[in-house]
Amino acid sequence: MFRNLGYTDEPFYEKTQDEYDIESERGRERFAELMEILSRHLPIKSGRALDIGCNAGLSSFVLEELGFEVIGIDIQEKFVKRAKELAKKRGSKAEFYVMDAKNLNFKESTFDLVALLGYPLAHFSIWDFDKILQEVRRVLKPQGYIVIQESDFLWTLIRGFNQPGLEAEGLVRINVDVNVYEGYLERLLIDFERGVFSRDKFYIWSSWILRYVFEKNGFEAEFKDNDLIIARMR
Amino acid sequence: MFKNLGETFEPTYKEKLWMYDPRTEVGKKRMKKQKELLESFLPHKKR
Amino acid sequence: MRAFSPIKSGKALDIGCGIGISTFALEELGFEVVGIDVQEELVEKAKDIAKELEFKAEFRVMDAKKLDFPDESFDLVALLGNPLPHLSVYDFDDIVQEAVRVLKPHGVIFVDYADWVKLLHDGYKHVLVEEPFIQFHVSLNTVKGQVERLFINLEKGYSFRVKINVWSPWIVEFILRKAGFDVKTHYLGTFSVVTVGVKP
Repeated sequence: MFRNLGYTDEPFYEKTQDEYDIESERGRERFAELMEILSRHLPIKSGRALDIGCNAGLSSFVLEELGFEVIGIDIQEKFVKRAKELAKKRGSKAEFYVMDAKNLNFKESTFDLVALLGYPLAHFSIWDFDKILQEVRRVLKPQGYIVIQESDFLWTLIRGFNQPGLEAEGLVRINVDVNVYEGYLERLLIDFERGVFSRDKFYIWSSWILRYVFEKNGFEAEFKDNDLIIARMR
Repeated sequence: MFKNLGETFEPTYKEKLWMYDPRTEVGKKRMKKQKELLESFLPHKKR
Repeated sequence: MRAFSPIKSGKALDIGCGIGISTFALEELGFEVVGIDVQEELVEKAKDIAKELEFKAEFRVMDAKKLDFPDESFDLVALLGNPLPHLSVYDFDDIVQEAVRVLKPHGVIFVDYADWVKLLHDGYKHVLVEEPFIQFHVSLNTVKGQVERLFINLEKGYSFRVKINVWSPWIVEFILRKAGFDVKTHYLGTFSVVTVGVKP
């Protein structure tokens, strides 16, 4: 009957790919939203930017539009392929690579801005993010900034744990357990349309933990509205 | 009537100190529990 | 004859000793113990009790973030009886840095605490009636990582609020590992988690 896909968030991204695709209506809306938020809060609007977890490049195109020279990376090959396709169509100069943020293939002091947009932290354990910050510290210019879009998941854990939710049309999410050793929610995702189910790890992040990990890596973090955090090296 | 003491841990210390006093029965029990916890989880070392 | 047994001798530092219950527990196990606390009246009381019950432990008023001891002078640093609610991540980090300094190689840090993330998750709305107090959740501040609870003493007619720092094993382990400890957590229940770190 239902096929078990094991540990993956593929069904989630399959369902929500419109959100990250500039050619969809939802994508165009998100482009405008992100454009507005970033132009209001970013302290710089030019230089070289690295967009970590770029998906199909929507956030990278926003950064390019703002005035940056952009490189987008993502761990998933098919998103990077789509981003390249869209870049060609738009006449964008942004470059896209398949790359792990924990192991950045760039020289020291390459970027003026490193961005993690679209609420990516749920994918990263405290140890992953610690490693990412060490890498960011290396590739960022001394006066550079890191910008991250993040919301507080502790409330999700406390208030909404026992409620199943609809992550997207036909995609039900059920919280199974809390792993306090690694700090994540174990979730079951059931895709009724495709007849598949899978599990994923949803890492728990909250402002005070995030600030602490930033500071531990020598960054000073400022929490803005719209879930935006801007940090720079001390 | 009812007093608001604001933000403080003070009353918990005052009211519960006897529970942490090794001369009371509750205190003795607590001490025994702490010894058991330490004995169970202090790392073992080769003699 | 047992080939292995827990380290139970050597010098131990008991951080946040209060009136000394954990310090005496350590002494009874075989350690030579120094208990420290920032609250002077508790330290004085601990000294009195030690004299009365003939314990040898030494007690001092001291801030655990600035230990007045030489490097590599202890075999064990203990934080017993759930002291973490009083400490922010930055406080605990400072204490752990000091612990690394004063511990001898292969020395041990022993932390006993409650898993507040799990407690919040299991039922932050539950009212706790524990003589002489009734206590319940007021708010959660995620910027500070603190839970605010209201305590009421009906008989004596007063109320007060406490702020409790939220801790959970992955956060404790992160701080200890970053400081260089080899870490292991033992989970007995949400109110009793023990994380042990060994200095390499």
